Amino acid sequence: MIKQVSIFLENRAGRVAEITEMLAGMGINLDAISIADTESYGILRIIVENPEQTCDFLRKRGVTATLTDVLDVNVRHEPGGLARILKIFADNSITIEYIYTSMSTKDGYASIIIRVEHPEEAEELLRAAGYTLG
Amino acid sequence: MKYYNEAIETMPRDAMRALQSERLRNTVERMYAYVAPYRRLMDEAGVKPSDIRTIDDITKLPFLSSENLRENYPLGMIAVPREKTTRIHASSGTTGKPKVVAYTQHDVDVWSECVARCIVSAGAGENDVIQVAYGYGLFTGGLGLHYGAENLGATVIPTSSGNTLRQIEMMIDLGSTYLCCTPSYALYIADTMEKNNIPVELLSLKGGIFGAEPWTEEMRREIEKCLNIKAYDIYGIAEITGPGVACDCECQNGMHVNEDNFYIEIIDLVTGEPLPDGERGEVVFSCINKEALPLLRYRTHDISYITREKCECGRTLVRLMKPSGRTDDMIIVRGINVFPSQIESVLLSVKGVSPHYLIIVDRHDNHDTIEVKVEVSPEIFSDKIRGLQSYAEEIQRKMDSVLQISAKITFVEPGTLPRSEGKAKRVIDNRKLYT
Ligand SMILES: [Zn+2]
Repeated sequence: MIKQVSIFLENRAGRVAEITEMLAGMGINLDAISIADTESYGILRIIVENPEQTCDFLRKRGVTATLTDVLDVNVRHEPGGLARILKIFADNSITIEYIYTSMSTKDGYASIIIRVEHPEEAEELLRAAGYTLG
Repeated sequence: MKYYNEAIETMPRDAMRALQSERLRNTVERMYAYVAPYRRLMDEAGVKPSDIRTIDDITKLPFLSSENLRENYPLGMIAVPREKTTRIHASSGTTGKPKVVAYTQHDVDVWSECVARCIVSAGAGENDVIQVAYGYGLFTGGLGLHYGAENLGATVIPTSSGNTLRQIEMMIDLGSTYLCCTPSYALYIADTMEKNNIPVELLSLKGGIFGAEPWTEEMRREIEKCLNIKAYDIYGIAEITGPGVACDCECQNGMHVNEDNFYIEIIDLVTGEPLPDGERGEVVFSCINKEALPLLRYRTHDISYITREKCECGRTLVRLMKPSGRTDDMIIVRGINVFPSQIESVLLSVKGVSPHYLIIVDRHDNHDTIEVKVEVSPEIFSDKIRGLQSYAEEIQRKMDSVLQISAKITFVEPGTLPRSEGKAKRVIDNRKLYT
């Protein structure tokens, strides 16, 4: 299980650019990124090397940011790779809030970020099924 | 019919002053005898009923404001036993509690006559078909115009507000000759007709009696052009009686005040001293012919001026010019009074919501909109979209039930809204309602 940094985005042109520039200025590299948006605001979700430090850094600059537990699962980059995981969740009635993928693949594995309601339970199930997690 | 009550409406000034003096003396005596909170105020001011002999002595009396109604909520200021009242109305106050007003049958009759005078002064008569599209209910607009039109003997169509297409259908099919509603709703009706390709020629309208919210001369001209009518301004607030306190005549150059019942003063905003005719200040009204709630020297927070110059219509009644602003931060949206403090208390009632907000009032297609910008706080922010959305929905639900307004809630970054140091700008009104 890893920590994701979740960031509030006001619905205003250029706000995402401002935040990613702040992170770049601190030399923070983004391993994974996703944006969810509604008509009036958005949420930027990122995976970084030092989430606590990054979250503090952003808060000091007036950004509303919070840490969220998510699963970082290594999935074989092949047809059906994700489907097998989702089946395990479905069989065990685990509800998925959202899923996104990381920027890179390594040794034929892709890193997938999954947010579920009870991450401990989900992590145990995946480890029992032979998956490695970040 | 030129006047509804010619004797009063064209009364020589001296006779009017004598009538006002007598009515004021009676009212002060009753207020002192039966309204304990008012007696205390008079005692504190060192004034006795016997000090009030002519209408000019009114300046010796203390001022009243919505604060006095709030302190004595709901009916602590009435001068008759509750059993003698026959009607209750209410309008929103600065806090959660409304301002409750009560009437005896005498008060309802006087009110109806005043509205009837207004309708005649706006050119209508007993043969007219009057469509009342003000809201009916606790709001004084609907029932106020209704009783006035009925008193006159006109045909009343009580459509109330809303359901605009049916409103237009009734207006066409029944040949309504006068429309009574808020000026913004009149424009909305005109817009709806245009959008639905309903030609204005199908209407039999001659005039409209519009009020309950501020409007400009530009709006008047626009309504007159779009609906091909003459648009008359009517003034009134619930605490005094409701619509019918004052109304335009055919000259459309100031609203004649029914001053045999509602005595008007203009006072200096800072010192509270009475100002001479023609000078702008806060409008203060005294109900000198009311039984249940005869508020005296009640501060309306409206800013305007009066004139006693001769009017071409022949009425001698003093004229109140269109208010040019407010002394408080009340906003009027679709005829409903809204105070920023009410919105603030709704926000504070939702756990975790920041007290920093900005209200933006706008008008699109002649429809008023309210947007409330709220700063997001770490307590309510979560990584899930429906997290913040559920807060927005909760705020919206509460606004709807407390204020009867639907507002759009927008979350903004913390620290970006003005802080309440001194007098923070809590409201941006883009409608430009005052000239
Ligand atoms: Zn006149």
